[in-house]
Amino acid sequence: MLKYDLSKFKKEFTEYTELRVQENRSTNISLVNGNVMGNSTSAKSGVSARVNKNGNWGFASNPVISDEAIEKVILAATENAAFLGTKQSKGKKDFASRPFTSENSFYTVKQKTDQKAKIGFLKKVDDYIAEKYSDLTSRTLIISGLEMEKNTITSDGSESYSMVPKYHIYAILNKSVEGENFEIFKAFGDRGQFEDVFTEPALLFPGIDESYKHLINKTNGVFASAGMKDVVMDAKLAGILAHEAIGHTTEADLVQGGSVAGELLNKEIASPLVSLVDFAHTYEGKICPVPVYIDDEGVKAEDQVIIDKGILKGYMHNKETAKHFGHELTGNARAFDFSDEPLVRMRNTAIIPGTSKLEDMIASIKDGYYLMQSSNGQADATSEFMFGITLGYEIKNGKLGKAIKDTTISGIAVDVLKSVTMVSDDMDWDCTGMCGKKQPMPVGMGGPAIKCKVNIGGK
Amino acid sequence: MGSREILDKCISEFKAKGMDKSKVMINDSEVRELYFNNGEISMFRTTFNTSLQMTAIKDNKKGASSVNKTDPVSIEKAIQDTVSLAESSNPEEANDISENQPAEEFEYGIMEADNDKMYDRMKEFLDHVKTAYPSTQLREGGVSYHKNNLILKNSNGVDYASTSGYYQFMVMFSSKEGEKTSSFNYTYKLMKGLEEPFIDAVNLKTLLKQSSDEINAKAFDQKFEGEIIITPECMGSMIGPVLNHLEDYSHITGSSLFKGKLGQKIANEKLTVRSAPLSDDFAYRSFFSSDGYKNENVNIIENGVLKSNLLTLFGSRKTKQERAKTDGSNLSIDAGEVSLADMIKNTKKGILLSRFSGGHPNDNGDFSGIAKNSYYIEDGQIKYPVKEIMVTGNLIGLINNIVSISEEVTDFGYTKFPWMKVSGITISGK
Repeated sequence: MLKYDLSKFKKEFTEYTELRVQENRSTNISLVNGNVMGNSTSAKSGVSARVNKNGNWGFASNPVISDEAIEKVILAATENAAFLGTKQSKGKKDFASRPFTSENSFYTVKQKTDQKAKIGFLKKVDDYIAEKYSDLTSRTLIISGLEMEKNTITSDGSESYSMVPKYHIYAILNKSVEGENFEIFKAFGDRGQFEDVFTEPALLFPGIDESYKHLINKTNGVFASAGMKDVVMDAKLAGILAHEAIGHTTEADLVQGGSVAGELLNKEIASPLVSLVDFAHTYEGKICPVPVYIDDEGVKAEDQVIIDKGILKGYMHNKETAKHFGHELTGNARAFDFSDEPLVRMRNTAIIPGTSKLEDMIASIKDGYYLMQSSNGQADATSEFMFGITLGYEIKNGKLGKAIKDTTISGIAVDVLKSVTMVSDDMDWDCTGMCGKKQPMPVGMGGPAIKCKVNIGGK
Repeated sequence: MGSREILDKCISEFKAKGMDKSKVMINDSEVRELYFNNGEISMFRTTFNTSLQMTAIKDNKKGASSVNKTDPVSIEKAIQDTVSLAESSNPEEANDISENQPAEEFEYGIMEADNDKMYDRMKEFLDHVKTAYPSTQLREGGVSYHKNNLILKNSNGVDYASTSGYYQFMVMFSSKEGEKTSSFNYTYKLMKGLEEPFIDAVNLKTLLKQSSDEINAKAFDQKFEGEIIITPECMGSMIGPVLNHLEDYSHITGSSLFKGKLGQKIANEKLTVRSAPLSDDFAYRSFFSSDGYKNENVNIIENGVLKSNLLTLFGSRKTKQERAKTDGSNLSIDAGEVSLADMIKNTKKGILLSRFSGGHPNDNGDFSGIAKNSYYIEDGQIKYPVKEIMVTGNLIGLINNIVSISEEVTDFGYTKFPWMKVSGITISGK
């Protein structure tokens, strides 16, 4: 798709208007036991406009990208806002604005890898697994790529272009022992096109070897003992803790909808060891997994400190919620597809590292668990969160014990974060998963290892 | 060029480029949505899209691509991409397309949206809740109209077309009093029309009342093996993972809990699960599968016996088992013979499980998660709403330890589920 000059359509704007031309491209290849099961690409593009007239939003989209289609979409969105205006008027809304012009592309400069070469790459990883670990019941390898390319212009003076890709390879290894099935999941990948993220199949082998060892440990695993337990969450889990436990609860549209965070601003909600930030695009000089320089409402994106040394300091906003709360804009309004309206979404939500060492944290627990890998998660207005645990170990008298069977952990965010007594000095970033909230959305998550108390499912 | 001509052109192009088989599907869709946010209608949205999906097979090698454009340049590029993908793939004998069947066209549902009626029903609902449930906050939701014009053709001569339209209502809410907040809850329904006020849809009146009660949800520190009564709202998240084990991936990897169990008893005899894609009891009908077969109504589990897996053409060829005659849509569980009131009355100790927020079950079917919007039951009475309660069980246990199924069934327009009581579940507090 590349860049599309939208500035000539500004003359069509009669009300507050956002205009976006976008293409999402995805690639999926799956290999099960060495056989190609899926081999597909998709591209979805179009134009959308969102208009606010007397407090009413009108939105329209069309897959055709042409000057005529764009003019029609602007008109349709304006008419949709007018349709609501015939039924209700909320008064003119003057949103605060932070206009910005931005151009950020993460296209690779390397020679492009075609689909055949990607299949070949996956096949080499599969051959390695098949040869070395012939006792597996099945092995699945998946390449999943998403590229989001956006051109946006707004009536309050912002213009932007971005292309942010992410590519991952997922490995799922299964083993049956005496009729019982066990599975381990490993994700490799990062922000970037395939060529920038994956260079040599052999670089994935150590991760595969480590996963296989965990899988064997899981075949001798035990059920966790249900109830409140001391746990060390690995750095790979801190991101999902930041995202599910606090992130969603402090999205301002959820706060406006009644989340408990509405009553807790400037109050202590976590241990002083805990600081949590939704980074816009850069952390300590390095680009975050999902960089957002300008959001889809045309707001220059800034880091938003959510928790500072245990105190809740702020929420994530779009223009409407910032106006409602009288807060500064943050640049958190993001839309997934061309046909989606921007919603308040996280960008790169992370807990800031502390000073402890992981081995000391494990050694400090008499009876608990070391939780290493998560699956899906969910948040709530009450701040009660949960996420699935697909890899973890018992801790007995400060030492790692048996692996545990897959389980779920939960807790009330404030209680869990207040129970934090140690935070490690390392940091792990991840953009493997997609956040779900009316629309899917790539998000970055990060953090160090955390020692806290959570409710764990089990027997 | 019309949609049919586009598909014909694609199929002939694939043939010209040396492909052995091809399948092409086009969907012209329209969505009209009235969206509300924090109890107020905030946005009217109209979106149009076209999805052109194509699959080509050469020497058993398959490629697939999709675009949402139908201009000649985009179509030509998509065809070339699909050919390249097929040529770059590995041969797989299970790759195939459906055989020739008589061409058919179908039409079902509402063909045009009524924007004014959508607004009136939405406003009526929001006003009613504001008055009748003052502590409840309608966080987001809306009513939307969906229309799809779908055509599927393949190089064996398959030619199916359907036009369908329906309304969908969705609401997410929680309640608040002072600093106390209840857990959010949600429900939705697909509808053939807008005759019924939204407040009368599904079990909304009960759910909204419960939401206020749940402001004062209590935790407990017990751990016991008890019974759960799964509500119709929660049924999809409990039965869905069971049905996943009947699908392609589980069978191909050999991890299905029901491998080799077709025709055998896999569940309590009280359980009958149906998929009725052609039934006009539902707001939406799925006339043909994306594989290119005309759908049929199928009993998946009948009186506890597994009658059908949910394998696609690829899955069936790969595992050498029968292809499902349904795409799995319009699911229902048959009603039982016990009233919900008696079901609760006969519960010694357990949970009314209204929403399950849990991790994906593992390969053995073990699951655990939080009981949301749920209630503690003791000695036949609902005692109080609970929070921070974890339920743990196993999918095989779940469908075999069914104590009773309610005579009442909730119609969600795309599923119909009763309440179901199951024993042998570990319930643990903090």
